[in-house]
Amino acid sequence: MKLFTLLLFSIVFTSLQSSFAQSEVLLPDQNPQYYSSKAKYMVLADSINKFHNTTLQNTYKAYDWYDAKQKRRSDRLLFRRELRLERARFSNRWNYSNYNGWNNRDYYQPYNNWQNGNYRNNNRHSLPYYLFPNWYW
Amino acid sequence: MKKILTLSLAFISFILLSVSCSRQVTRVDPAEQIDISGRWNNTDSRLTAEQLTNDVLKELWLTNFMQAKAGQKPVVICGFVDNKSHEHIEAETFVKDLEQAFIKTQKVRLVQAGKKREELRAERADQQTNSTVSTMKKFGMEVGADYIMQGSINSIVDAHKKKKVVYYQVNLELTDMQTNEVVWIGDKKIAKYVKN
Repeated sequence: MKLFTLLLFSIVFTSLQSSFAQSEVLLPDQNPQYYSSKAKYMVLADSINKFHNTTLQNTYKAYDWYDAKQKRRSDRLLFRRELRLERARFSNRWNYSNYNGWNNRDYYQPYNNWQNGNYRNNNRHSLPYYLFPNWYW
Repeated sequence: MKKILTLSLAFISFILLSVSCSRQVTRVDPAEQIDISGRWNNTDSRLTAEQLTNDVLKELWLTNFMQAKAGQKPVVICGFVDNKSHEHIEAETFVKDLEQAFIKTQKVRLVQAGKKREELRAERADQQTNSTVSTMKKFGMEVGADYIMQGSINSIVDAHKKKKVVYYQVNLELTDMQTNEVVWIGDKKIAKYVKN
């Protein structure tokens, strides 16, 4: 019953609204269908108008040869620095020997042994390893 | 010996103080042209404002309106300015100059828009319950705009090696609110040659 009342009320309200819109006096040459557009934009007005008097930033990225070169240079320096750090971290990969001529890499870091696949942490690699897999790692 | 030590200390202190205070800030005239990076700067904004202000107040749309409306001044509202350039540019710096010129010359009436208008309405709503009846401002008494001012900023960048040419085009246009007829389009074109 309550639902029926609400439905009836909404129908009556809508029909009254549309008949009121149609009964408004039209100006000469005014489109008689103007109220449909009006109804559409009355809802949108608040959300659009709040940005009035502002600058919409729809910027794009322009290609600049010199800037791109500077970027490449800084990227390369960063990469080399990272490479040096990673080499320092995984220094046992290289055949550094101590003063007595023996290779001591496994003595200090047995769990990071690059030769033995059964050891823990063996699959951990540095970022450059993944970036350049065909290099002489 | 003591004198030499004192002098040395004084000299070192002077060097340290002068190094630590190396930053210098000086006030400059806003109308002075200072180009540092080649990007959009205050000089560009000022030149744009000057050109557009001169254009908008001297064009025919104003006299046409006043003739049609028996000497009434047109009411303008500011809409969006769409920045489609490659840099962050705030149009408010030159649009405000333009609005200021409207008010100073008393040729064009201006109504508030956007967030400021929302704030005004909120304050008016507050007055409905908190102000005295004699001072309370009423709803539905705002002045409707005759024209809306909208704009766009575009740019073209041509760069190779250490040379670059940047072109900006700022357009503002006035459109009749009733008929959508564009009555005025003003532009400011700025081209810069930058060599790194």
